[in-house]
Amino acid sequence: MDAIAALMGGFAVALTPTNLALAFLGCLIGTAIGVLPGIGPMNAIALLLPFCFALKLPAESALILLAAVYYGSGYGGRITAILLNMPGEPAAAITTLDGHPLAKQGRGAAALAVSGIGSFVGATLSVVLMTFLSVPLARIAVGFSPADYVALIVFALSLLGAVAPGNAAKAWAAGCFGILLALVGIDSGTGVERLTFGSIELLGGVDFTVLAIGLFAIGEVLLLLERQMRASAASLGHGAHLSFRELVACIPAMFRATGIGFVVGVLPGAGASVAAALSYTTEKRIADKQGTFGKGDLRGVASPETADNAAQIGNLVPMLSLGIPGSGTTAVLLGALLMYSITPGPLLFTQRPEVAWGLIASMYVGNVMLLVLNLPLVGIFARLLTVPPWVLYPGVIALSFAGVYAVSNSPFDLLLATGFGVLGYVLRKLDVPLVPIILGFVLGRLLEDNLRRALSLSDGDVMALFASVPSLLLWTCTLAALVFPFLRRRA
Amino acid sequence: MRDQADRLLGLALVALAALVVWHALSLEVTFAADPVGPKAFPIAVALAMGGCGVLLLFRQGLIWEKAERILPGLAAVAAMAGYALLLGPLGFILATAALCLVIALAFSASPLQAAATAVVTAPALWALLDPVLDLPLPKGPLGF
Amino acid sequence: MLRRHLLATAAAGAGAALLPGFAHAQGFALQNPECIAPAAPGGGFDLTCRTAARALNELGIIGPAIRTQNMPGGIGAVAINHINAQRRSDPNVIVAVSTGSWVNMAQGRFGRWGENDVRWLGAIGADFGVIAVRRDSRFQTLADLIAAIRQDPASVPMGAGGAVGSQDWTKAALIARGAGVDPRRLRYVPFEGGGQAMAALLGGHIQVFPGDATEVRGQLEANEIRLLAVLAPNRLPGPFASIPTAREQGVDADWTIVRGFYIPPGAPDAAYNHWVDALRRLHAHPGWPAIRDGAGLFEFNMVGREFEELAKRRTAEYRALAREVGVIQQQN
Repeated sequence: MDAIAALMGGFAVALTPTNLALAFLGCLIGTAIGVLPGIGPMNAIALLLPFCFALKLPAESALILLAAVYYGSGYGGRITAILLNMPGEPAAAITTLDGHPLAKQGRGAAALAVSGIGSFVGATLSVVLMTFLSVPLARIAVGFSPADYVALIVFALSLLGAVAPGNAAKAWAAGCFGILLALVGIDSGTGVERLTFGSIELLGGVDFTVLAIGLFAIGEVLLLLERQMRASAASLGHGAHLSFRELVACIPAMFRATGIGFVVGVLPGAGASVAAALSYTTEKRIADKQGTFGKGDLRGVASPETADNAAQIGNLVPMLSLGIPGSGTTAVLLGALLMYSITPGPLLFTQRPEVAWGLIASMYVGNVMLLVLNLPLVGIFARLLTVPPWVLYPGVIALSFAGVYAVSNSPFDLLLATGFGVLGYVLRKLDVPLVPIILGFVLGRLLEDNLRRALSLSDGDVMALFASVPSLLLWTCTLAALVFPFLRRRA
Repeated sequence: MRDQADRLLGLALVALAALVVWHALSLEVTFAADPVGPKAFPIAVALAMGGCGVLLLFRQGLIWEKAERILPGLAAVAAMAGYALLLGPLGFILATAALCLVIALAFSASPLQAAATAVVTAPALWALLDPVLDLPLPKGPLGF
Repeated sequence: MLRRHLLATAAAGAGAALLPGFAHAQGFALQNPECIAPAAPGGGFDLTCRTAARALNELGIIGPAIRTQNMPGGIGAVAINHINAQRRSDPNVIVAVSTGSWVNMAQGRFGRWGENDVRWLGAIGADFGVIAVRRDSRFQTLADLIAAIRQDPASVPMGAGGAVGSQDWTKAALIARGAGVDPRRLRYVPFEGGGQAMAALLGGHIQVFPGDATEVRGQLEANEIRLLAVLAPNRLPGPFASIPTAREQGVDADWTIVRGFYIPPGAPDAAYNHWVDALRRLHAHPGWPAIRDGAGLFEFNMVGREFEELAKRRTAEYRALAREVGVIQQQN
């Protein structure tokens, strides 16, 4: 039980008053960053680094602060997603599916509460797994080949029909449109420019934030303007609070979501959005007996939020145990270590245990803080809906635009967001679901890249896609997911 | 015409798919590092999207709900596009205040309410981004 | 507010203790100096700007705080466009640049702008290419790798964090050329960032990872990987000291990832000299090496005319390479 002794040493670091205060500050900033649509955790961490130096923080304290910003952001994204149908971060797009209908029914506070608890469960269980299994898990994760990623992503996409009630053709068309948007930019396999139509602004592709702000925030505002706020806006309502029975009903969903989220998160080539999408669609298959998912089911909120936070923690596993950053944000965290003359990598746990274990211990503490911070605030957040629309919506649009502009200085991005806003409005009017666009956007690029990697490595042999145990398992799941609904319909 | 909304959508999807396929076919690849190349995937996805569009052509369409009010939405879109173009010349605070003003008015605020929203929101956002987060924002002719 | 105050205090303290006064070249004074980083906060260029800005202020070389403005897009394409269209003669702005920008510039991805449309200031440091393999790899030396590539390029899957044509790919291409093999015949697999390429190397999906020294250091020290060569003119310090250069092994492959700056093409000589002088004093300052190491950069002190010549020579070389292997845009 070396891990327990080491963890105790970590708590000795994490529980000093300074480090407690820093973790708390990081949690606060993280939640705020999650709410802000334009600025993500990667940006926030880079912007906070100079503070750490100016305040002459030691390495472990700086890392505790910065990591708290990172996992705290997973708590913030849900707030606007549920209340305003505007996801503050990529993974929260899935949360709008059930979160916003709940808010419309006057149960926004319950949705906020269950997602807060789910985030806590997902994050904390993942930290426990990380404490004891970090190194073996990371070893297994790097064994996941491009072909395995293909099978994983196809499985996630096969569930795409599940996230969109109504006309299947529209959902699939939306998914394809999302995939095509993700292909804009320089093709990594050959270096040719695709779908940029000569624009240098599009060389780097379409930014997720710009797409999400346009489709969700601006599209929503335009629809509200047209309908004079009737029918669509959420209200506070009665019986808003989460009952104990409802919470208990969500617990199996939370456990499943933790498993899926953590495993997907540990893979260096996937991410929190993939985890949230996979978790939601799986949960819908397993638990949606009455067809309430998508209409305001609390489990449909608990599942993606739990998976999101579990995946965020999972993402730290290859970073801490192998020194491999799986995402932009973890790469910046690694950069921060470097600035403190700490070589990130496999030796971190032995050479600088106070940093590695102090960080892990602080994550236990930080997640408790986030829970304590978030639950009482649920009522206050929900009060957002009582703010008059002529204050709320100008504020939301200005905040989104200012945030995007501050990190990009790009008028082009703002015009693009406005264009996506008009598109989002038209698509809503046409009853085309928007979440498949987001899913296609997130998964499409991953699918093409990994497919081409896999076939390149196998010299074009398609059978290589089915050559490993994980890929065979995932293909079987995909087949089951596609065939099962037909069987059930006949029975 | 209004009950043909889905058919129009289908038509638009087919047209977009055709555009993507044409674009992909026109890519000049001097050498392919991988067996798949840059064309196959976008063409496959576009064909799938076009197929969905064709399905929609054969549907009795949903009814396009006529907008009750058009002007506020148009004003908001114009304000957002204008914001993108005028942020540089006007400076952050003036441009943001104008954006808030128009959207607040579109949400049926009284002129006083709209002005109050604009006057509070713009400087507050500036204070958050520029001095606190240290992200420089454009200054206007008035020096702010 | 807080940040600027702290910076000012730190700068005042450092200035008093370490250096007399600020740089004054030909009576030119900076006003609200800015550094444009062609990346979002957290990206590589962002680090270049913020590191240099912090060091120049804290070490007392430049008085007024240098603020970093982010302008992502096309590894610098959007930024060079902005500079030439709107700030052609602004003396108070510098723009971060890297070898990656030169590669893209050479391939015509910077629109109509090229290496003659800016004034090259100088570098603050560099990283160097390395050829990494897993610790149990069949390749012991660069010669082993080259022999295998020569025999059958397709038998050596390699991958890195950039697209075909990018700087990561160019490292592989240089090795192929050293083996006398057409770079187009390499089995190169692009990944999303060096981290994922490292994961694929450790997972055994690729056999060779042409990465950068800084990003592989952790795995090298933990003996997870071996380095066949560093692509530097001379051996690198620290844990890299025992790794021979490619040139020592008879392959003329040098891959220096320069990180530096340019100023607008119309900036006056006084401003140019002022900035060059500031960079020169930065390199000479005893407090600089520690900050530079923190940013993951090796010493690379090149400024002014010398840097300009390097920029022009490199872009010409990359243009030739891109033409040769056919990764070049049609407009050039």
